Amino acid sequence: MKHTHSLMPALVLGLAAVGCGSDDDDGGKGKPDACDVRVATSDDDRTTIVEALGDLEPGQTLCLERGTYTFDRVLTFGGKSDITIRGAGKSRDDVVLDFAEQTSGDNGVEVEADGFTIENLTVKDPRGDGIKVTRSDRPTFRNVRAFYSTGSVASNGAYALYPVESTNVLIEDCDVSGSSDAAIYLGQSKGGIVRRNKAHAAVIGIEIENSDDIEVYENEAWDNTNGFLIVNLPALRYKSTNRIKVYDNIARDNNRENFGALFAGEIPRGTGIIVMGANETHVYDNEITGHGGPGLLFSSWPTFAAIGGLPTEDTEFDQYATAAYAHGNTFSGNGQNPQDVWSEAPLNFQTIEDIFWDGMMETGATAQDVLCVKDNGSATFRSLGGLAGVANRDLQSTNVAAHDCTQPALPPVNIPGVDIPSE
Amino acid sequence: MMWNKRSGLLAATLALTALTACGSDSDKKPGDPRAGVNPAPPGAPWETLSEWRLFDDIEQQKPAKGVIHFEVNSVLFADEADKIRFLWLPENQKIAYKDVDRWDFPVGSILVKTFMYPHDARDPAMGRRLLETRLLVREPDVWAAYIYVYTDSQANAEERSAGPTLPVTRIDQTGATREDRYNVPSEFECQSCHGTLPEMYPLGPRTRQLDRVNDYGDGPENQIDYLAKLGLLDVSPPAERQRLTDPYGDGPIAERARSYLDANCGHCHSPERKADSTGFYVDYDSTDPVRGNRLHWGECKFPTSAGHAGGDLKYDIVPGNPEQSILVHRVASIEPDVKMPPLPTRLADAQGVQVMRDWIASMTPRSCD
Repeated sequence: MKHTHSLMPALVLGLAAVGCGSDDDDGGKGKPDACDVRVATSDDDRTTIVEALGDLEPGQTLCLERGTYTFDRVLTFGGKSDITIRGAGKSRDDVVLDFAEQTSGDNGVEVEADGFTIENLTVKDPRGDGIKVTRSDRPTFRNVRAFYSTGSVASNGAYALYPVESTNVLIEDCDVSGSSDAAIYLGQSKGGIVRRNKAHAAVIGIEIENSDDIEVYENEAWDNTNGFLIVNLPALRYKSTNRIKVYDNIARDNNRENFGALFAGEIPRGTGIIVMGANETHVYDNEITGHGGPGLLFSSWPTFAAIGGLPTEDTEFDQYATAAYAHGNTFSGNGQNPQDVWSEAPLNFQTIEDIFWDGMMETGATAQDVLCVKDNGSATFRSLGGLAGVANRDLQSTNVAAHDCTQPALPPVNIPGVDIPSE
Repeated sequence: MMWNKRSGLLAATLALTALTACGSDSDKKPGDPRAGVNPAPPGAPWETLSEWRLFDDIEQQKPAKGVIHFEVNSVLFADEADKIRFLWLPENQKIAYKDVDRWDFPVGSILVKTFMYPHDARDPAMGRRLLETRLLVREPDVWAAYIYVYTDSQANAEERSAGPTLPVTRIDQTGATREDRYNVPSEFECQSCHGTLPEMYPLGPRTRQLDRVNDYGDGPENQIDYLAKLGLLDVSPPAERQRLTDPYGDGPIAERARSYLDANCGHCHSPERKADSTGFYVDYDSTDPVRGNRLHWGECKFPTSAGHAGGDLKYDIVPGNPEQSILVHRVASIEPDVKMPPLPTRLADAQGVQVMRDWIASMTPRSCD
């Protein structure tokens, strides 16, 4: 809508807002009656939505009426705080942002704005990444489904829900599938909650990368190459990963053949939860079942670089995992069909244990500084014994008692307005 | 402005105030270039370009009095569109000159950039199609971006905040007829490169881009010296100045590459900017061969978020081997999930790709594995 100096557009918008609270609202998790502006599908959905976003005041909500909105270009938004984009259908299936025909822009939706919320809608076939939120405080992804009509193929976009370099991130009640990297990603951020989501048929279900103070709970990840990845990667802006809680999740049957590229392409299939190079990662009370490889892997970067074949020249990033704590997890049906790096040379495992540690320790660290393993029922355990253990099985160990220790509970992550359980 | 919508009544009141404040002389009607540049009230841009009175003749792009033409040393590729740039300062105001950093413009300044396609790139006499004029206005609180799209007659342009996609037909440098789509950015998209509100900023006007020769009617004259002569700079600029070399000129290939990267990529790929998280930094400071870090500009660096956009390649730059370098792969692509920059352009910059190839080929070869 052009900027005008007449009263008419303001009146029209006001009347439209008064028309809120129709029985199309799903009465769901947002504020059902807070539709300050409503739009419907049109000949040019991007223009319609962009103009509507331009008309919002900070704190207001744009509702999308039921229908499929198609995009040739990325939907870009920025600089206005506390804006919500809500699907106003009975369910999130009723409002679809369809990027299958996109010819310009490497994300479907691209946002840099504080307090941005997107909820109750579906994102379909983003060419590149799905919804990317960069350098923002309090982004919220709620009750969003993202999927690919192509199935799980290499040409699918990398990340569907993609907050980066942000703070106080909330991702909840979403269902994401088909991504060629991580379906749900949270990277280089401080403070976040990832809960009650479903992630499936992707390379990685849920990934936390180079971030601090994140809670990942009550999620379910299945039929991915790898269910959950908590990782510290090199050559990025932020150099370490600290205080990540992964609890009350279900990781099951993540045995999909890897269809990703670069780093994601090196992740071995059949691995339930991977913790690599991260510090103070607490993995507890999870159900980890049906993986051909290990259900739970703790590793540091040098092992991956040596076996995965992706070297780095970055000397500044934190390569070693420390203070990991695995307790109260339930394991069943893991390790009977290891694949990829597990079964190939040089590791050559024909079966593998539920919990696997690469045995890497920084100089001066003890085994218990690096990893505590307690009360995981009858879960089996193996330590590689460091890189030397690759060639020499005698250096490997199945002695989990060496890790019979605990770590103090991590402080809860506080996001304004969001309640979480304590450890 | 998009984020600062006022009620209809308030906007109408402001418009009336602005009109009457321009004076009641009968020959100073809005749109009359003799009345001087006519800035809009902050947050309430004029609906049409003519109301700003930046041009004596919009179709000819003839600037009004006080609107100063300038060019840059390293041009940001814009799908083969040509650009013409101007700046205007309110009376008695000065720019805070900086040797290295962006220049600080006084409140009220207006930067103007018009995009156009020649009908036949081989022959300027065939005329041109004006596409859009972008304004960056230094309002009291923020730099504000307003985009005006030309009407068919090209006599005026209308503000189009949502960024239309324009079909364009033209004959390019090779004589080929091209039918493309041209993305006018949305005003939100200005923030993708110019910084997020409230911290938007201009990209072009700084010493290393402006230190070059132009002709203001009295023969060749350095642009910075000219601005100083007009009294528009707060200090007398030093004789020694940072200058970006012509990416397509005769300078050393590393300097040409640095110049190209700074203007085409560095606005996102630098610390604290939009692609900060990637750790891949190619602004002019970051590519300094002495003070910079080769891992930052991509030597033997594998990207972590590029996904399949890297093709089957592993490293941003494999020294000595452009065809194995993801940087070349991405800037040469037109696939929307691969191409860099990702927006607003749709085409690849063939000239720029060649600079990247030549630069990487000039590096001492080494394996990254």
